[in-house]
Amino acid sequence: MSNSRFIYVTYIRSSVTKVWDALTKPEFTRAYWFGVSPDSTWEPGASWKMTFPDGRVADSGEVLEVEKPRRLVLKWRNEFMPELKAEGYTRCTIELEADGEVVKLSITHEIDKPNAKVIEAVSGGWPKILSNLKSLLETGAALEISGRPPDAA
Amino acid sequence: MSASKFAYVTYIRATPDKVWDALTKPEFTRQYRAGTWQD
Repeated sequence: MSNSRFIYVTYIRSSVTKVWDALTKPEFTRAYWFGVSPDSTWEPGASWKMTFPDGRVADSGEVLEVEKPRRLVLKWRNEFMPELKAEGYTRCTIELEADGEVVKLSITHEIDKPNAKVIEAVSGGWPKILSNLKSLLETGAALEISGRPPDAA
Repeated sequence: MSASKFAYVTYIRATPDKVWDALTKPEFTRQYRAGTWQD
């Protein structure tokens, strides 16, 4: 089978609970994730969406698996770039693993088609989002990352 | 073509000079490379 996949691993001096909250609660995500706010009950089968500060929906989908605070699998579609939206639903697996005072955070974002533009886009977005998250949790301040407007996760 | 490749991108609050030194100078690398260092 031919698919497109992006994998990213980072280690953050934090607890799995804090990282989980930072990924799922809008008061955290707004500070480091291109200003977006997630909205979901985070129950299996629930819908979820990410909204930009101006109200546009960035991404949306369905919660496929939840094992708080260790594993979250999302059906995920870009909603604001027609070219990416047209590629349909991706699957994003988020895994958190405690190791002493450090959390190993792994993201796997994939789709069942080769050379997908949406995976290329998230490959640019996730490193910014997760570097920002790491800086925020470890130092109390997010980074000032310039560049393209939110195009990815 | 068939190749093996690993790519990783991260963003760090620092300057290129500081990151360069941290990658190439043993007094830095010793602190984060789990006991190994560059000759």
